[in-house]
Amino acid sequence: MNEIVTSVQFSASQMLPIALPQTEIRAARSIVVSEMELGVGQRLVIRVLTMWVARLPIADPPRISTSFGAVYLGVYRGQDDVARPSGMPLILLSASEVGFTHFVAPVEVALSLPGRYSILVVNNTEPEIGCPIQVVVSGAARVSG
Amino acid sequence: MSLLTRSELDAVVDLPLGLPLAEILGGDWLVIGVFSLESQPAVKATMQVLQIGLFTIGQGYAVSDQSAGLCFVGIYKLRDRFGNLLYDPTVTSPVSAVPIDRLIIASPQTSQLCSTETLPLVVSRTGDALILDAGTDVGAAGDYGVLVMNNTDKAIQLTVEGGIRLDFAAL
Repeated sequence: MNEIVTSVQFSASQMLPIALPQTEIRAARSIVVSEMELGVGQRLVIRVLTMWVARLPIADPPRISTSFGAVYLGVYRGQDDVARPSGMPLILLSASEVGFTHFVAPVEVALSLPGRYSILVVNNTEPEIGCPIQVVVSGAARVSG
Repeated sequence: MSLLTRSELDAVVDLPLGLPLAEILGGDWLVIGVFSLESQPAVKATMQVLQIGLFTIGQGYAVSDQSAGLCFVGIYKLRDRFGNLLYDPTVTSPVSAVPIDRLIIASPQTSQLCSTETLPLVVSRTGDALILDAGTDVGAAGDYGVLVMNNTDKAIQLTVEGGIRLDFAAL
């Protein structure tokens, strides 16, 4: 169905940036790329999400969580401890080597449960190894409601 | 007045490019954005806005490549649609690679160097130039990177802002 968007609907729709220029993350640390608060009746759609690993100095480094790659990007809801995220993220991009990881467009993931959503990039390598990883993240999300 | 349908609105995604004030050492470069184009379904990419603000530059600097200005932002194809590596910015300087498009902060026309009086220098461009259409040109599909390069031998401080419009309804 080709529904016409009203000006009210258009005004209530906002595209939010998800952007992290080339940044080095130390072992066992994470960086918050984006934070989004979703109210009742609102909908968050992650439209595009791309992570590029620019530098991973050690091949197959020991990982803290073996469920994920050496570096991963996760979309979490209600995550309080941003230094050490726990559990399975709602959306996951995981990598263990230099290169691209992305949603295959135009797949989109819609989230509608109210709360605070965090997008984190995590260096999942053991701190004793000392494996800094450089990543770039680009993406966009739409909040509507 | 034209009307916008839900599917038209949903088909367009504005991908942000942003570098907060950052220092880049002489001859060094950074990747500030990445995106991928697919041919099935086809995606079209258009550079909507690109802006560079140069805030500081080391005294007595010299420009390295005379055709590349003081600094520039360039868009490069890193891998083709088969995953073959075309350009590796972790190894090779973007000065040595062929960009799809580039926005340059030009060197001063005279022999005068940039000084605190002439900075900040801002260059910008809107709504033109980059059009990659994986619908009409299947070869456009692949992985892309947006790089910012310091083309001098001294450290610079700069900002970059911009956006690439991805249109998933290209066909």
